[in-house]
Amino acid sequence: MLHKWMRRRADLYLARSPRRMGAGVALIFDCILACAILAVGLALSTILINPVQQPSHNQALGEYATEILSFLDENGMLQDLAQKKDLQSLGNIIEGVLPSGVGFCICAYSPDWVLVWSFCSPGFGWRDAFASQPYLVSINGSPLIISLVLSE
Amino acid sequence: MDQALEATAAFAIFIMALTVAQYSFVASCASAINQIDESSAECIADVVASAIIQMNGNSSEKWWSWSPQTEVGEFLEPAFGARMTIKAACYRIGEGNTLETSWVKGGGAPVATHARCLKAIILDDRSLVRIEVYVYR
Repeated sequence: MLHKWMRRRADLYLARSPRRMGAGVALIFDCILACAILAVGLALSTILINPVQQPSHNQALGEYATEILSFLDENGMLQDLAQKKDLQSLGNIIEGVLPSGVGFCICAYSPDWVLVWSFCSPGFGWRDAFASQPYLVSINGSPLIISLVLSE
Repeated sequence: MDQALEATAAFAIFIMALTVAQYSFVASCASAINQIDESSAECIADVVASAIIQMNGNSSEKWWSWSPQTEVGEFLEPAFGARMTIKAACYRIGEGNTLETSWVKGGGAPVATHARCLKAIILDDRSLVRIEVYVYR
């Protein structure tokens, strides 16, 4: 069976005489096939050797943002400045406790998650940004949800 | 002559493809190794930062008297040759709702950073301590 198959392949090879179809062209086709096999092998190996993505270290930024909101609330500043809408002072304080290279955006939402106001630092970008836990404060008897988003 | 030319072209194409494939494979391996290295450095930074916070708790006195240890071996063993830099700062809200820095502490020579861990804790006197641990492997 194998012998017959090899014989047929040899006949086929001989039938491809240089006059009908250049042996060089056949070589180029073989080469393209080899390149395709290489590309497939490379793609598979790339998929296999890359480890599972670890959670980004930026997730710690979200926890840090929550700590900042707690700090402002502990000192009674979050409610005070949110009530006065003194966003510049709020921004200055938040900027002061952030390490260099970290931007921020503080957003306030109504209880039904409609944006009431927001304030972003110049270097802030939404890419790779992590938000704090929603922080609830009371402004003139009505609740306001504050969220601080940090990005590097 | 034509066949020889075509064979040479085919061989050249194959060699080029092989070179590109090998280069890409090596780059991919280097990237994977780097990722593994970086994630372990991040774990070391996280362990050190957490240990420091556990050690001092929310006591402002403990944090005041604390001095940063910069040997990774004091926090975990084996340290895998990791080096680190610690930066800590304490902030409080002063008169006129302004932010004041109570103290700044640091230790370790500045190193080319591989990973960073950033944590914060609110102390019993309502001040905030920010701690940054930079690890290089």
